[in-house]
Amino acid sequence: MGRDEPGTGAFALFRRSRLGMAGLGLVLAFAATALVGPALAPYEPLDFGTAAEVLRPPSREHLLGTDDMGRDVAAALVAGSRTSLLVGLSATLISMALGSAVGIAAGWRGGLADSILMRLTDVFLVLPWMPLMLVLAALLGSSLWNIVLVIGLTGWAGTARLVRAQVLAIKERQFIERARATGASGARIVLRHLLPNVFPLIFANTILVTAVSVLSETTLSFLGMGDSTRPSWGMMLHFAFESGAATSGALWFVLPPGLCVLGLVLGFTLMGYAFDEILNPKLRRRG
Amino acid sequence: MRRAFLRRLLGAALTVLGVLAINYFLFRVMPGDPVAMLVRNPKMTAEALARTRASLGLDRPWHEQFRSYLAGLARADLGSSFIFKRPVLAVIGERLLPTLLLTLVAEALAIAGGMLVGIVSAWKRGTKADVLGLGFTLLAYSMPTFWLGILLVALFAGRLGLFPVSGMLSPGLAFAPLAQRLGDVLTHLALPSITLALVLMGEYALIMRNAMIEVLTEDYIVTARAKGLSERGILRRHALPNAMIPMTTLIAMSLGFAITGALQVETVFSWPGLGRLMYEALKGRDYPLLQGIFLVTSVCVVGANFAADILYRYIDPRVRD
Amino acid sequence: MRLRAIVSAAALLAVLALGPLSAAEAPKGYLLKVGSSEDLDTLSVFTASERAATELFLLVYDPLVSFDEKLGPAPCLAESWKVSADYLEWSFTLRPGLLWSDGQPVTAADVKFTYDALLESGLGLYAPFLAGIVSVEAPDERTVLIRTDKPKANMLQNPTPILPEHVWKAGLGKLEEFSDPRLVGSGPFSFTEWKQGQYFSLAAKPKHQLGAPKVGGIVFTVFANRETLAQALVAGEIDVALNLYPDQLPQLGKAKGVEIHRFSGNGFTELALNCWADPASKGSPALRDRRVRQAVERAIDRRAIVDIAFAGAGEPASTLIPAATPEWHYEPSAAELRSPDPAKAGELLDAAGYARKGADGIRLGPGGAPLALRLLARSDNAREVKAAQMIEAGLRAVGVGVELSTVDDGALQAAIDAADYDLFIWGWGGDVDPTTILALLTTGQIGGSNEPRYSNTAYDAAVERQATLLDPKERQAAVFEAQRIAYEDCPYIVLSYDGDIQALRSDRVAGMAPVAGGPILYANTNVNYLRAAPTGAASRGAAPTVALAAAACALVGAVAYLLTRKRAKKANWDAK
Repeated sequence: MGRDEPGTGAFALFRRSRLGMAGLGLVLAFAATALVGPALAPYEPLDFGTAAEVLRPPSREHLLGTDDMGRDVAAALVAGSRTSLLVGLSATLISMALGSAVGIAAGWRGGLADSILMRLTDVFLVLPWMPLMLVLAALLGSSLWNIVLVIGLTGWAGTARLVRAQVLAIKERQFIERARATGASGARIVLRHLLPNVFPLIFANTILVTAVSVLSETTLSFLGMGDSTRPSWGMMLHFAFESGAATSGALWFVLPPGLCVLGLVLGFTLMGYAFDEILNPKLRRRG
Repeated sequence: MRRAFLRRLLGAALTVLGVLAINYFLFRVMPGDPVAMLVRNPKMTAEALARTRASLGLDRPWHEQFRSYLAGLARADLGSSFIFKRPVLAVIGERLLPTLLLTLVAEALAIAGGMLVGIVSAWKRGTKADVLGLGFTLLAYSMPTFWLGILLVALFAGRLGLFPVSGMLSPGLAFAPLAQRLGDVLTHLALPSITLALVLMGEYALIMRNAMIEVLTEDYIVTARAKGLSERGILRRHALPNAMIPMTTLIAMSLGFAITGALQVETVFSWPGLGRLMYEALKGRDYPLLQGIFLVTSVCVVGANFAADILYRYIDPRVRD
Repeated sequence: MRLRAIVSAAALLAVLALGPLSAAEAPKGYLLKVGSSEDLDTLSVFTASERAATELFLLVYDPLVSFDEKLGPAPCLAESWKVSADYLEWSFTLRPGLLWSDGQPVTAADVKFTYDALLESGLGLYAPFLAGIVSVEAPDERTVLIRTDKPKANMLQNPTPILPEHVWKAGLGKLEEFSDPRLVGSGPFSFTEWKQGQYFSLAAKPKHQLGAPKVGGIVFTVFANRETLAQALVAGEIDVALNLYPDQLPQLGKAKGVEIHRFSGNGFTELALNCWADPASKGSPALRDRRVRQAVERAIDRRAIVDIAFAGAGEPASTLIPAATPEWHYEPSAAELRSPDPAKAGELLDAAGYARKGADGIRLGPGGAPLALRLLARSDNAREVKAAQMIEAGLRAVGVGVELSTVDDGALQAAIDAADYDLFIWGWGGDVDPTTILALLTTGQIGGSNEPRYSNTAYDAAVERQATLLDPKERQAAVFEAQRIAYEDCPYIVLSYDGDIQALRSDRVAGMAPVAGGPILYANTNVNYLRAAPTGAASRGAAPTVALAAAACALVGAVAYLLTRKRAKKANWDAK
């Protein structure tokens, strides 16, 4: 792994990783479902039925049965993939942008700025993460974009630390010294030389953070803090648990949403694992 | 060594201060008024509410409230819970024990299991055992904790009727002899601790496997092999101690976090711990209690980090000053 | 060492978490085990606001006059009472020989102390029951004289617990913080222990003026999940289960010895409509028009909401006072009743000026703005969130846009206090006496419990009048009048009268029966706790528990062994 050139070989290596490709396949399958699925589903995911249609087991009409309001479970699953991917990716974007910015600023500027930013990062790392999300969700209200914001705002600290460490390592290298000597501006060096070298790391981390973001969205929704106007897997599990579907044996309402979460998160984890192995096995943290 | 220690200590103290400030102001910008939460009771009179507000100190300006909060903290007084009208530390203490019980047992299971899976996976890298181990690891790592809990509830309670799935003590046993109550608590502990342990195990196994693989390619292992040491001997004497270094850090950090990580498990299994208390406090806008919970958990994490840092320096000669 | 420490710490924690090493003194006799979702909040009459606390107070304290099994007034501390001809002066005579649980005598001075403390502080759930009382006197040990400014219709429906002056006078001036950890009282049970989030327990007293309890003690266990609650009842871990849902009935109906009681409670779940016309109101102006509010009601199918969102629990509602108290519930006539009818809703909206529709099917107001309402529901209440989703669909079908958001209790209360909402769903619990519920919507309560900020002087007058009428017929007419006005004006759309289910192991405990056709426990009276008696068949089913406990112990022991063994090896490395 040459640290001085961007990880050009990384993607080629990734294609040789069977686990990584399996993960990519899983993620792409869910992405395809999210894109075209809702148009193909014969039921509207939010159209509730009559009392007689509540919690019916799988049948020819409803392939995966119906939920606690007589809605088609399969249709809700398909629509839920859209929510999960949307929230997962958008929240990741926020935390990566925030984490990278803080990490680069702290590592590059050093001194007092570094101390202050890292202290702030530490504070966010030690604040209990799930409760903090619950508090923020209560503070902002639980619309979809607020959930994105909440997950994004709580998940950046790990990335910031990681990026800072990498920036510190790269900063001392010769090609940066050379660029400095030629009188290039700080912003130029960061954009042209530093960023491309930190990027592979940021990218690998992004994938793992996406896995965590998807899990976070599901967990928040399960705890009742999700957006109830949109079908999501976490929301389905929330209502499944609240209506006692697990103990009463309505497994068709409990298993599929959980398996979907597991599948999507596993897809991202596998990809992240493959990248991680390629780039640097030492750098690893969850959320 | 001593200077480094003091610097770390100062850093930890600053972090706790930051947590304090964020906690305090975060909860006060939240919509909702702790006293107003009592209005929802049709039998609360306006006078009662005004008196309650004054008794909670909520009628004073915020900076005065913050100052008295800090002054209280200096005396290890976290204030009094709005909902329970008891000292915050007493309320937290009562609920902290069940959470500690749950997380410690889960951590012990997860550390033992995770290390075992990680070591075998690394040692037998590329074999069927590794594929199995890595597959389990990644699956556990991706598992939504609460869903795993629900599945265990469905299986063990719904189908098999084997383990109790709710609470910590069977209803009739409040007055039973200690030994009987202890046994009862352990049966209640089984499913929640296994749920938490399985999820934690994924992370431990992954780190352990990577650390082992890294260590196994180092020169001194090759040298040891050349010296004719047995494979087992290499594993025990050389590979494991070095692979334990990153594990120690992770374990210490995760011990700090486990207290809140138990929130989902506590919700699914109705375990009367800190996570559920936090939820109640949040709903009732019980600021002193919320602050107390955040403070206690953050201090746990900072403390665990600090301990890991020191431990790290102690076991790894390379980072010694 | 470290891992072994973890294991020993876990064992120690298990012991600590169980509480005092010596269990509270075990009551002699059968332990009545009640399971519900309810827990205490505080142990003080002046600060508690949870239902569980009022139930506890029923058991450890006595009021002057309690409720009997038909919810009529029954002598409790007072053995008799008289009222003056102008209905303004009441005289209560206490029973002779009453004792507090610490052995001191109960006197009229204790009654005066309790009422004065509540009237002076206004604190807690019980102060409103004393509204209208101007003075309390204790001319001798056994006589209490109470004067009121107007005739007080609910003087005998006053469950205020009488507290011992010798314990509570230390708390005067700081009643918000004071509490008596032993709960010294005169009631039939004494308090033993409270494990917050887990259970609270009581022991029976050998003697009480209403007859000694037949059980030795009571444990109220808190269940966070109603499924496991039902399972505990079937398994015989508890004798009575409260707060069950109709969808659990098939499972319970099959179980042996389980007796099910369905009843409607005196609370309701409502959709509130912000009808405040004040400039400070941030609600939609559309809702200030009564026709729009009535159209909203026409767009809602209460039957479907009860069946699907509430899983069959409760009854579709109409007016403010639930049908559980038939003497106070006003049933609208066929002409008055607004049953679900999208066409009628459309007509009402057309008439109110919202006839034009936009491209998306949403009606446009006179100014051309779309008719859209914000609907808030509580995020932790799955049934209310589901009802909100159904209301949203119903309103959309008649061309009213809805923006649904779920918020937690604190945020919803904040929105209500700021009058910054259009619609929200929440519920109220009622009383035996109708005054509590009716007073919610009076003009004086704007900014307080009058959440829709509704105001109608005719309504206010009817509510005030009924509280002073001692003739049941006259009072009923006034109560009906108030409900008719509120129903017509529609500040609240009462969605359902709470239905509740309690189930009982009648093979284990005998003697308990529904109170006035309603609940068994949490029934405003302690008669069922006094009547409950073990049948003798209530043997212990502890064998599987013990086996499992042994298995769990073995498991933990094995893990401990493995861990310590590992650690022993590690010690060798260190020695190297």
